[in-house]
Amino acid sequence: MGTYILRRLGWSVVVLFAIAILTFFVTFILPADPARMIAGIRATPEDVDRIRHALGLDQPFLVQLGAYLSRLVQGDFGHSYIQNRPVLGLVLERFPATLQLAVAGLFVALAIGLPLGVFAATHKGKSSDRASTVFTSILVSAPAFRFCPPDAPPGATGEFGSRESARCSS
Amino acid sequence: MQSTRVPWRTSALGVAVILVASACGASSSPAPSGGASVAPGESVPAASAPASSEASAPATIPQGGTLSIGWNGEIQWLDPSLGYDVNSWPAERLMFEALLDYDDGTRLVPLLADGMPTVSSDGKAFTFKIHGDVNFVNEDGTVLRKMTADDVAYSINRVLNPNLKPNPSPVASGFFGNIVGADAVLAGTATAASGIKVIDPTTIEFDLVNADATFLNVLATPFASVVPKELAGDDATAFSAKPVGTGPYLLKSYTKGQGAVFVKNPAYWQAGQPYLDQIDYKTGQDDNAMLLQIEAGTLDMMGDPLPAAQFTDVTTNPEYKDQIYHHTLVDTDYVFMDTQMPDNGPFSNVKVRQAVNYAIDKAAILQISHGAGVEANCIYPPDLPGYDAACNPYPHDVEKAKALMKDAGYEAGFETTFYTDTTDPDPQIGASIQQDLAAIGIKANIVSQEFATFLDTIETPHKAPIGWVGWFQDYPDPSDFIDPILSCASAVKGGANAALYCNKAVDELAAAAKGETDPLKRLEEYQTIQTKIMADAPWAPFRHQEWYTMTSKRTGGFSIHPVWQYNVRALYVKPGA
Amino acid sequence: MTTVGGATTTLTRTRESPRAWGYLRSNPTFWIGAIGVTLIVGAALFAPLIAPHDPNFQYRGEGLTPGGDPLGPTAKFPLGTDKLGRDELSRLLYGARTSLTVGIVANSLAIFIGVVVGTVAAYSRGRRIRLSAGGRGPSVPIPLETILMRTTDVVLAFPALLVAIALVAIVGPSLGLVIVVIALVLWTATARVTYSTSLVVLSSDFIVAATAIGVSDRRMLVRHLLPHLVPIIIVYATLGIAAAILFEATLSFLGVGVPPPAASWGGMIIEHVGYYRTDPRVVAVPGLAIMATILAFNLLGDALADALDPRHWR
Repeated sequence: MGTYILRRLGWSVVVLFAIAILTFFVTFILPADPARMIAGIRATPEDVDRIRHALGLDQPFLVQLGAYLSRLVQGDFGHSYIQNRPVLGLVLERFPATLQLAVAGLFVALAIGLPLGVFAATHKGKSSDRASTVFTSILVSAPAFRFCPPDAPPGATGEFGSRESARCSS
Repeated sequence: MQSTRVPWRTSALGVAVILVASACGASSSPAPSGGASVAPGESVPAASAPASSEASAPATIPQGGTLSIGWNGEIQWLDPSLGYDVNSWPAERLMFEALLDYDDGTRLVPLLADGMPTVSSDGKAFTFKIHGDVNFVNEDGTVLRKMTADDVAYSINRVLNPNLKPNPSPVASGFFGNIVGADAVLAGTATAASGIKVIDPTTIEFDLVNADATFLNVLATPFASVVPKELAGDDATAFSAKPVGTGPYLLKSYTKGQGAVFVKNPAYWQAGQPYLDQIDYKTGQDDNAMLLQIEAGTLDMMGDPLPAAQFTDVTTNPEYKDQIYHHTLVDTDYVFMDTQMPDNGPFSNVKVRQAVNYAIDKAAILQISHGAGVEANCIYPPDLPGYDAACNPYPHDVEKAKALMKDAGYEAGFETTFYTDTTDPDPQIGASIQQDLAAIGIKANIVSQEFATFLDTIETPHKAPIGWVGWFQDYPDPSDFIDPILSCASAVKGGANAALYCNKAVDELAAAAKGETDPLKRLEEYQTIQTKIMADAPWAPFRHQEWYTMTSKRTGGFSIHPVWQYNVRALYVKPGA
Repeated sequence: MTTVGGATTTLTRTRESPRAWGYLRSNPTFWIGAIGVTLIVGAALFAPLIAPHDPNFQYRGEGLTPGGDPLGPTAKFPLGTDKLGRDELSRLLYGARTSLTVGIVANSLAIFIGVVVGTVAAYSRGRRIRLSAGGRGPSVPIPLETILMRTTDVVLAFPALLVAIALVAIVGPSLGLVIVVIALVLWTATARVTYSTSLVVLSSDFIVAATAIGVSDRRMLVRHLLPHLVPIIIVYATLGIAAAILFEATLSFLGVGVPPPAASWGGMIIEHVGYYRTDPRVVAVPGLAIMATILAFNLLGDALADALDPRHWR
């Protein structure tokens, strides 16, 4: 058992590294220019170039990747320009809420789903089985953002993906 | 600058737009008089009465109270050398001041300067006297010391500093590159520009390489704010956390992700100001949530426009009549077309571009914008000096458009790709224009891209044959709408000239007009430039956006300012609130 | 058909299918689901015939309120208009095409990839797969199971939207790209569940017996393993349609979905999400359409999964 856990842990480190490199690569090939976004839409090309050079964004891919990975292992996740604070702080801030939601969601899913599934299986073929099937089907079919409280301030949901998925945006 | 509708810089994701027209509160609409030009050899008298109408302020403005203002985004910087977005500028203007400011309109008035400057006859040297009693005040309210001309010189050199951390200023060469000796500082071979001369503790002189009246507008931007030379340093992040300035408010606390609290500066150098005891900034707020809070009175202002879906409801509600403010922004939304389209593509033909101008149904676009805006027929928006209400070379006429297409040899039409960004409702406006183009035979496939990608597309020559984008002023001068977006110098990779418009004759006129010292002649020259450019039709302008917002009942002194948008320095709490 | 010790392990058309059909015929959920799916697919197929207007045409003056908001239901627009003055009913019908295409094609692709990865990974456990140059020279053992499952982990943890935005920025938006992106996101769920189920099935007695009598790898996978996966595949297929349609809505919001002005239910919801208070109709109509579609597919899938479960037909 112990070796199994160790092996899986070892692999998860590899997986994390692979994801970090892949994510960096994808962001790198995106046509958006971070120097331009920092400088603002109005800045002259000369000023944008100066900022690009000061931030090391004009260096070759491998040099930038190396710098990124070496800072990553030291715990420096970089700086958010939109929010003007360290990324690690942003991530950690939202982590408790995300964890809460995930655990609570899992708990609810188990608390309701498990007994319902067992019940349906043991009463197979009877009308109660049909009823529970229809009931679960209806719940599965409803798009999540239909039931989202629209007036919740964005900080409250605190999910990592809350902006991207825009499920609860209004 | 390029913007889909938000002034200064837009955040990449998730900034809602939609402006609507409705009941009027205080809206300032000054006559388009030149604020930038200064006659040679004489100092311009300080602007007299503001050229605008405003809701009448009470005879004595009540002192004290707290107002709160909510924002979608975060304050990015409290360091004036770097802040360049909708959230940072108002915050910086609470704490810092520059030599010049604007009145209620677009006229320049002195602030830290003691009177307008003396300008040399060739228009290249500006000499300022500055007030001798301006205090730098620490965070705890104690006076650090008095401001001197050395601080002014230091502040401008700081913006030029290429070693500023975390990155150099985005306007170092753009705004201040024209100062003599600036290039040495930018290259790192000097720490101070030779053209910034401290004559004595209350006199400072700026020497320019080329005559440029817009230099005064530059000196009114927050970038030209005066910072204390021993505290500011090279680290903008550190200074942003502990800013010290001369402004009417002090930073009491700043929690990233939540907001900031600004309190009254007890040692502010101008008596009787500021009116408020405290201003609360609440950042990271959702538009609809802010609106609900304002309606309930728990929030006083929102830094973002009214959300589209609530627009009609809110603006037609008689209860909120006095709380709705609106004003046409100094912005132009336009369709750009690649005038240098490779292989003699359709848009390289001026007749096709003129046809597009005739084809666009501007009233339809205004309708889906809930009426928030005015039709744009030429380049300059209202409020911009040089605006010509009579300029309208291409009134909506589908038949004329079709005739021009036939003339150009495209009677059968052609297919193309139309670019827009994804910020709501920009793709819808793209869809509306797509329908107009289809009516004259142009089959346009819409590609909408996330804003950062969209910027990259339109700044890469020949990537986007046609698309739409907006341009918002940095300061109220017509050169701001010509040089960055319609000059040969900007028709390059990384430049904002999406139409790749390059007309040498127009370029020469623009260079001459920029340095022209007679203000009236200058405006005439810019109007001639506008007419010539419109004849070439690199753009099809269609709208000047209008900003609609709502405040709580107790907010006083609020108006939408043509340059600052929200003039936070003039706020007070209404008596009886 | 292989019979070992009386336990029948495979489905053959000659014996089981009529029994499955008999089971289905008497199952009401099957009929509800089947009729629902037929109606929806029919609406999508015959949209050009049924739709009263061009779904992309913006009726400016007459399609919007004076204030510029969407119009409620009228004689001309049975379900009202959207915020550009386009007929809601027509957009709904044409939107069925986009959503169904995305849901079915992307999902099928995802299921296919997932099943292949999951079964091969499970089957490779404990078996040495060797690559050698034509049977001569040293052979290299490949840990196929590990490679496949760790790749699944990486893809699962990867931010899909980032990839979507990057791909669209480079290639340009299109329906095909949306399908590919969604498939790339959804296959991992099927892979994992197929893997774990396969492990269970592969440890059964009849598999041991089949191995003992020398059944080939291919026959093992297709004739012995796959039929036991059918119920779970069907369940995940129907769930996947829901996920695909909803994911398409998210992509539309970021502008990397089906290019405008093409109608898609998810896009319709996202475009009007701010109107939930003032005019809920524009959000409710496409939302209900999505709900009904997913419900129909789920009920149908459920009934099919039940009927086709080999464990019934001993």
